[in-house]
Formats: sequence, C-alpha cells, structure tokens
Amino acid sequence: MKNSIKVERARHNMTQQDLAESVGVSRQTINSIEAGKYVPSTVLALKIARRFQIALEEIFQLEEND
Amino acid sequence: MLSKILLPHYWQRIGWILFLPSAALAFYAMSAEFEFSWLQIDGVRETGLFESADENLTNEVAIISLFLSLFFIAFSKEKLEDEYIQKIRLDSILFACYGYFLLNVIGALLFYGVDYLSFMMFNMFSIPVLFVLRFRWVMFRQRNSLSLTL
Repeated sequence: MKNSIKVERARHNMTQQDLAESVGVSRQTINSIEAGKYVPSTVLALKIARRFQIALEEIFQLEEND
Repeated sequence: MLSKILLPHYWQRIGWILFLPSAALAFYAMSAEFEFSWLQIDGVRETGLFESADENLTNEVAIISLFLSLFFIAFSKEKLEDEYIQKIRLDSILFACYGYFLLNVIGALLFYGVDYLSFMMFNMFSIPVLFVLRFRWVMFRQRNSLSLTL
C-alpha cells in the first residue's frame, strides 16, 4: 500500500509532529506509515483522511502486489 | 483498538529500579549459594536423607522479585502508547517465543542430563528478557531514524 501523506502534509504545511498530535499517535507512527513500513488501522487511516479533509482513497492506494 | 491490559507508564521505572538489585541477588544466590539469615525458617519439613529441615527463602525472594521487575518493565505502557507501538510489542513477543523454543532445543541437545535443571532455571527468564531486549532495540532504532528525518 502506498500513501501520499507526505504530499498532503506539505500542502497543509504540517510537520510529522503536528499530524501525529492531531490524530493522537506518536511521531514514530507517522514516520513509519510515510516510509511504507507500517499499514495503519482503518480507524487511524480515517482520522488522517479527516484531518486533511479528503477521501481515504486519495491518501491511501493499493499497490499491485497487495 | 488499544489493548487495555498494560500497566501505566510509571511502572516501567519501578521495574528498572527493582531489576538491578533482584538480578544481582538472584545471580549471587545461585552462583555463590548466598542466603539472608533473616529469611531462614527452621524446621518446616521432615528431615530427609539429603534434605535439611530448614528452608531459606532467599532464592524464592530473588526469583519472584526478578520476575516481577521484568514483568513491570515489559508490560507497562510507553509514554505515548499507540497502535504502531503495540504492533512492535506483539512482534517482539513472537520473537521472544521463537527464541525461547530455539533455546529449549539447543539446551536439550547440549545440557540434557548434565545441568539441565539449572539450564531450565535460566531459560525461564528468556521470554521476558528476549522480549525486553528486542522491543527496546526496535524502539531505539525508531528514535534514531526519527532524529535523521524531520
């Protein structure tokens, strides 16, 4: 699964820390999701999408090998 | 979806404070047969051929406090516990179980009949110890990679 959190963060001018605080997780978690090392739970994915006020699929997309 | 069966964060500190003296006591009690005289209970059982009637509780106190301290260290929350940390936690428990099984196999091959009981004694602690080592190592690496990226 790939995601565009980094792009969205840049668009909203947010640091990893800002995003982490606003969705209630640690910065490590955001960092690992951006790096593709961790697939967030549905709840966390929805929270991130709500924070950026866009649809879930615009941030998270399946890859071919998923 | 966070698991609620973890101790509050401050138990981690209590665990580390308890760990050093109890590990030292356990090591000393097992290697040098050290015993506190005030933990001696006289005449608790019938005297046998190889058994004295007295019982000293130093070993028991050492093992129980070592287990408790490892339990506190291993199963208290991080400062900010979230789902990713819980995933690392679960992975580390799996890792520790693999290590425990592997040590059992190696131990059965190397120590069976020789010093198997003391091997089993040490191996009791391998699950919590391997868990703590692996979990702390991954958390340490996370923190390091964080300081590189902003």
